[in-house]
Amino acid sequence: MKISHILSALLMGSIVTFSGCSSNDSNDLITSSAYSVKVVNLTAAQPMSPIIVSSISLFSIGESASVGLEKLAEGGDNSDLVNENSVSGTKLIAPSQSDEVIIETKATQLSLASMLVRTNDAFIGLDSYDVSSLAVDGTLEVELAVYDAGTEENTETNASIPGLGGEGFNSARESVDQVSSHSGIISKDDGLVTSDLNAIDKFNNPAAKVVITRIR
Amino acid sequence: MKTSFTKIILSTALLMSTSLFASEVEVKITNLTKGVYFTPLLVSAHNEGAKLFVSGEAASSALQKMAEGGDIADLAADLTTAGATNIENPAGALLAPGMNTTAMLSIDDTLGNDYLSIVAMMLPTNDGFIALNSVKIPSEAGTYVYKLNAYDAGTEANDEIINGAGAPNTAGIPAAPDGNGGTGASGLTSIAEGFVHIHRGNVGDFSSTAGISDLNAQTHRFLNPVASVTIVVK
Repeated sequence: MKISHILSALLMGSIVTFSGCSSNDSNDLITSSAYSVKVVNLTAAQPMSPIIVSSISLFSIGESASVGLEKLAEGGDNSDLVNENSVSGTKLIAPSQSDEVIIETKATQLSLASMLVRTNDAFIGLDSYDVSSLAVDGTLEVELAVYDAGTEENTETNASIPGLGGEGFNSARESVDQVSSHSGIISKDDGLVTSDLNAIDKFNNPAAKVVITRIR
Repeated sequence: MKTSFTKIILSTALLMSTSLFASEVEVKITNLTKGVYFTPLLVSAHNEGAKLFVSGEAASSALQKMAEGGDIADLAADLTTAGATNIENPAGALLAPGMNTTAMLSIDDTLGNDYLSIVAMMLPTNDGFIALNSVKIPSEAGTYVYKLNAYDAGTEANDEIINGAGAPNTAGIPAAPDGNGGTGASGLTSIAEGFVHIHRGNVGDFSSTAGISDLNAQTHRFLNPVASVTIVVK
């Protein structure tokens, strides 16, 4: 570590003089890259909560969700996940619409999450996605699946779904308590008589598209 | 193992050719589902000709055994005959929802085994299975991620009746490992599709003692992708 710090200090001091030496590798030690991250909602009727884009991991399949992710997935509230490693979107993304944020980071992996608002605890997610191959102006397009935070039972009732006027975050956890791929909305139309969701609230994968462009 | 010295000698020549010796490939398989288990996995590096199935075509009897009862022995034997390198049942048991397992493949490149396949039956389904179907293993060192879809072998009707049956040509589902299976269902259908295709999903119902299905609509449904595979080429 010490050696690399000295090395980066040296490189920083000499970068103008020795610009021919500024390979990508040495640049990564000293400067941030900037990425534009655009999320497009591909669902029929599921609004998506303001996105969080982070340079660190947000979730892991099979593991218990963090409280920050639970708040996002149950209530659309990403505030616990906002920190020096992340950037928040500013709006609800309606079906067919998109939102775009810019994140500056030295990391070469990006994560993101956004709640499907007419669900108990479903979210679109991307975790620790490798963007190291991106040159400046390069673009990657990724299709996103829907995950289940595993923190709230999928009752599909008005009382439990913020998009239907019900409760958002609740610190209680469902028995499974692990993040998984979402198995889908059932809905009243498909036989779950206690559901307050309709067939139009169903989704399939991919539910969103992400376009990542390295702008610096 | 014997190749470490050879590697040094060949390393220069290697720059201008494809690899000529054993490569190490780490294969990590994660069950992404909320309530579906994978029976013993078959992980195989094989040549281009040794494909396990073709979508739209009828399943082999070996594929049928795997998809209906989780028995990978015949598929593994077919692949061994074709000179493949197999890892059978790396998890040592059912791979539960959210869990992962890793298999290390040491591939002798001289055999042309640069295609990867992974299959396992999905429980509870009648003849559903996860598959990575003959994907070219990248020659460049690095980490590669694949999302796997659920397939239907097309050999058994998706009646969704849990009756313990896993033998080929015997209707019914062996078990629901999550304990949410029911009994007494009338059954959804008696028609097998006849060809391998993307699985249409479990239906299930809301009764554990009657109804059209012994599966639970709230715990046994799934959407693609159902598994994630991360390959590390050393």
